[in-house]
Amino acid sequence: MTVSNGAAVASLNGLYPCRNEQILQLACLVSAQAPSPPALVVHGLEATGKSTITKAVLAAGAVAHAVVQSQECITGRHLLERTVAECLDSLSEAGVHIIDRAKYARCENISALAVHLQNLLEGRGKFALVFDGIDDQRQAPTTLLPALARLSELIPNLLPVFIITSPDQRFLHKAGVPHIHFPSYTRTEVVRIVSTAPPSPVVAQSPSRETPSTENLWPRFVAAVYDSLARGAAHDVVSCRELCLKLWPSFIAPLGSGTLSTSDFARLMVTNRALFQTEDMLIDSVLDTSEPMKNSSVATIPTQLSSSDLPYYSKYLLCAAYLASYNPARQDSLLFMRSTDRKKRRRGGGGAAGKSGGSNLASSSHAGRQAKNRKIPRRLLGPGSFPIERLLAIFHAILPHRIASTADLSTQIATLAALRLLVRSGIGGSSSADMLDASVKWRVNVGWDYVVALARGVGFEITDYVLE
Amino acid sequence: MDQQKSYIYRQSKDRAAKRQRTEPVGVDMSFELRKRAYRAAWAQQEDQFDSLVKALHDPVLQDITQDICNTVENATLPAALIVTGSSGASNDVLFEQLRATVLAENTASCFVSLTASDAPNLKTLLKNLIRKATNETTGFDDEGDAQPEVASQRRLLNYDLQILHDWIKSRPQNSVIISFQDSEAFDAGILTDTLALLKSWLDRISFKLVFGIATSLDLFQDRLPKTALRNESVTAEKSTVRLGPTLVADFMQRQHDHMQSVHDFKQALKYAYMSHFYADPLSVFLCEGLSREEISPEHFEVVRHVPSFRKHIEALLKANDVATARDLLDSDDALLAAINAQIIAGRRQTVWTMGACSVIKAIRSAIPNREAVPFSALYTRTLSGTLQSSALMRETLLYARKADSTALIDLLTKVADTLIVMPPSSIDVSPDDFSDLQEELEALLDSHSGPLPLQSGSADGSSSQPNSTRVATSKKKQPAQSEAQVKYNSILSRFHDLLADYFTKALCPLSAVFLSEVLFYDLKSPHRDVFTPKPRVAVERALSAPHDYLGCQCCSTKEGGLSSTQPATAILYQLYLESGALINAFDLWSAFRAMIGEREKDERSAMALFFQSLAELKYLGMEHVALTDDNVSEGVVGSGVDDFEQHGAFVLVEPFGRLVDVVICAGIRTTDNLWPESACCSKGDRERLRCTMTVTSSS
Repeated sequence: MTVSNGAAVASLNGLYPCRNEQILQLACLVSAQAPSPPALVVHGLEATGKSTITKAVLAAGAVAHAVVQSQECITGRHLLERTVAECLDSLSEAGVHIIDRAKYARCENISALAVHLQNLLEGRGKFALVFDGIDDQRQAPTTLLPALARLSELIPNLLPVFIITSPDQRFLHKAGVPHIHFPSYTRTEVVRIVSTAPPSPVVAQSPSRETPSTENLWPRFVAAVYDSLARGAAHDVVSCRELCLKLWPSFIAPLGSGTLSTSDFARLMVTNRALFQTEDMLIDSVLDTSEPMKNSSVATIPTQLSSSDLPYYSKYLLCAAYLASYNPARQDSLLFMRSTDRKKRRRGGGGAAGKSGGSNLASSSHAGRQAKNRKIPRRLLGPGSFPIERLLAIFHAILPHRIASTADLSTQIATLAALRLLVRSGIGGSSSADMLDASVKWRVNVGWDYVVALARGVGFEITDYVLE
Repeated sequence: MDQQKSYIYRQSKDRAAKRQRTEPVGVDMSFELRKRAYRAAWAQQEDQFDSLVKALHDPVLQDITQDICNTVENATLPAALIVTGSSGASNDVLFEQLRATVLAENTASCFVSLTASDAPNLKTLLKNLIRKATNETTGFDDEGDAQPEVASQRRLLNYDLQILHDWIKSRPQNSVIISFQDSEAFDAGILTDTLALLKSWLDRISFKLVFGIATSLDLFQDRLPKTALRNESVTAEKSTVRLGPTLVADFMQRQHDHMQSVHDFKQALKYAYMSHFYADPLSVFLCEGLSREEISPEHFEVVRHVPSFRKHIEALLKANDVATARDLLDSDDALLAAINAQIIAGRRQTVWTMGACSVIKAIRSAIPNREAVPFSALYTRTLSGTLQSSALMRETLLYARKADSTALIDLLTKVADTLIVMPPSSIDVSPDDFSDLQEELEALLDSHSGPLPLQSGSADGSSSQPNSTRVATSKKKQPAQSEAQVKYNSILSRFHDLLADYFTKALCPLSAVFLSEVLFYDLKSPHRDVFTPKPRVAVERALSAPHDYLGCQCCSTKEGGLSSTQPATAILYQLYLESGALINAFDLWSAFRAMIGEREKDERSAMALFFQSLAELKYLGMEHVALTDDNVSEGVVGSGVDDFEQHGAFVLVEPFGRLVDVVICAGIRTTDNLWPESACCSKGDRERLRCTMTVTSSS
């Protein structure tokens, strides 16, 4: 390693703490002077700094490189074309004048890529081609990874770098590829990294007081958050930092009101202990709950939304769909026929198992096992599918009054399907099949809680009709 | 002429003139007038309607626009959620308005609206997104697999967001607003992928998202995985757009039970206007400033036949006003004048009625522990004449009788305000009476030094439901009522009387209004036919009574029931309806054969008809065919086994509620195999070829 390289590595170490070893390995392997390996695999879990550090090392080492984000590529061909385009961009940035860009416009397959890269890189220095997240590539051909790994055999000055989460055994079909592992950060490392970037000091509530310096509070706060919440739920640096930033404003709120000073970390902790006990902040939500409610209308939204706005009969249809999905079809006559004696309705699958089994002998010999199996509440299993006729039959059975089956009902079923509250399943599940075909099976797509709330809204006691 | 390839057809001069009536006669003559009247009336109504809808949407739109324009840059995708309610049609309007508002507010952005049909997969979604964004101003449309990219001399796949990026760079636009109109209808996987992709492009293109949510936020959130949620942040939450029906009350029930769409409501309203003006000749009198000459005499004849006219005449005769009655019956001019006067009076009467309804509503909302009655319900009940003597009305008046002074002041103000805006009418209820009462009450309250508010004196025996216990206690404690109390009681009773009087006069049922046929449109059946068709019932009726639709001579002799002349499918359907719990296919076939035998002597063609009918029933959705495994069919065969063994077919019907499940199992390879005289296939063959038909229908 050269002296200049050493300086670059040192500066990188300052920027990205706790990654000395990986930076050093990367710098050695990709350095422009040293002979490069045939390919390079950088692997590690989410938020371990793989991409960032790889790019930084390549930039610091002054190695010509191009980065292809697999996430942005929709198809395999898209990936190849992006690769060529990125290489072209990288080379033109480096001052190489490409005469005919149109020549490289199309890249249908991996062979074309090899040809293009050969033409592009012929006679140039070392070039690193970074495939970021290539293991999540959409519609990737099975030969993609091995083929890319062997590009360096055709083009000696090319170094393919694969950034992936976890490598399989021999996934490149190639021996002698160096792997650099980025392990997850430990507690001390997480706390150290998150502590390096304290948030900008929050403006105090009373402008007369000078803004309390929160710099020294932050690392201790981060450690407390990590120990109480993040260790179990927000293990990695990114989510831990997010969590800390979410909790921070409420944590230092007592400072703004002037009741506590910055030196009283212990008292702050005690005041805010509810913050570290409840786990609400860990649940991601579309709504940003950490922000203080801006006005009263915002605050009332959640209660408003919980009751859905469906029409009256749609609610019944949805209840019927739920019942059709979660009750076995042969119990329908038991549950919904008017003439059936209500006393006959059984609760619990165990009793029903003995009688409804095909042969009594077999069921009695395996009674223990069967009863055990049937203990799983149906509600916890996935929804079953049902034909539309069964849905309509149950719908008519549970309605408190008679209703003629008009086009309105069909429209509502169609609406429910469009809202994905009812989904088609099975053979007719694809969108091409005719919706009205009697062979199309349907499934309900809402959960128990939702349906119960819905049924309660229309005064229908759904629990009476669910076999448990 | 034969050699010519083409020729010009010249009309001969001496052609007999067609004897067709081009001039409308009788009541049809007024059609143009009615059309004009309709246009005027509907235009007014539509304006009112649209402004109402716009007023509903506007605050939301403003909020969203503000939000979209003011989002700060950060690492997450900014998104706005609009909870729209479950109607698709009104969403279009809303999003169109949103688009217009956003573009007007923020010219440096482009607005792309995506629906679920645009996105069967990620690739198509991106294609559509790019095409819609770039087409918006340039209008160029390339269906090829690559877009020509002039600037950078390269061709890109048409689902590459690089196109959008290049396009954005070349334009003043700096942000792309993407709205997912029906976000539920999107496949959750595709939506997640899209969000991840947009997130990764966020450093180059500034995306902003708008989601239309039809069900509820919880459901929407449940469908997105956690990673997608983390990528998204919502800057503010929008209030629910209430789709409020406000105007006429006929469609309320349907609106509540089935649809919730402003659009549908408007359509129904428009249809009501159209049917009234186009189908009812009397509506011509709604035109302003009609002259005698414009209307044909038939119209007046028609007017003289409507029930409300007769009632009017009877009322006149009762009042011994024979001259006026005779005048109306004899002279068209007099009738026209009367009609014009009455229509104006009738309109005013309606306004009074609505005013009274709003007063009732105000009083009802003041009563604790009573849920509010919607205005529309009050209105319909008034017009049908059931409100006046209802328990609701009694309760309302009783409350007015017992109100305390604070509530009474509010009520008085409300009534007086309503009355002031009323047009002059024959109803002699003056707002002054109420405002006098109000002044009196205020004076009393000013002079009163005791505890406020003043309660109604319960010792007043005239109250309709005296509370006996309270009477007893109050008599013990307060042997003599205070002076203020007495005064207040007198005010209350006067108020009660005035109010009762006002309601009696103002709440006038539909039947009491002269020419109510003109002023009100109250026919249900046209709407039922147009907006709520019953396809299934229609099909079933057509099958069970084909004569109703065919109108042929042959079938009409029989009063319902089977006949050999009916179509084969109808016969089979009726046989199937007649049969009991278990249908034997052979029995079905023999019954069919017996029915059809008169007409089809040939057995084979009868058999063909039988199978054709079965197939048609299946096509109509009455049955469906599915292969079942042998266990099921063996299990359910029951008594049908023998016939199945003999004829290779059986049918099983499982009754279930109002629905009948029929399983027809037929070991049929060709039609020949069904018939025992022809070749009987081996059992193995039958096993292999067994198929199950399930016939389902509601009986």
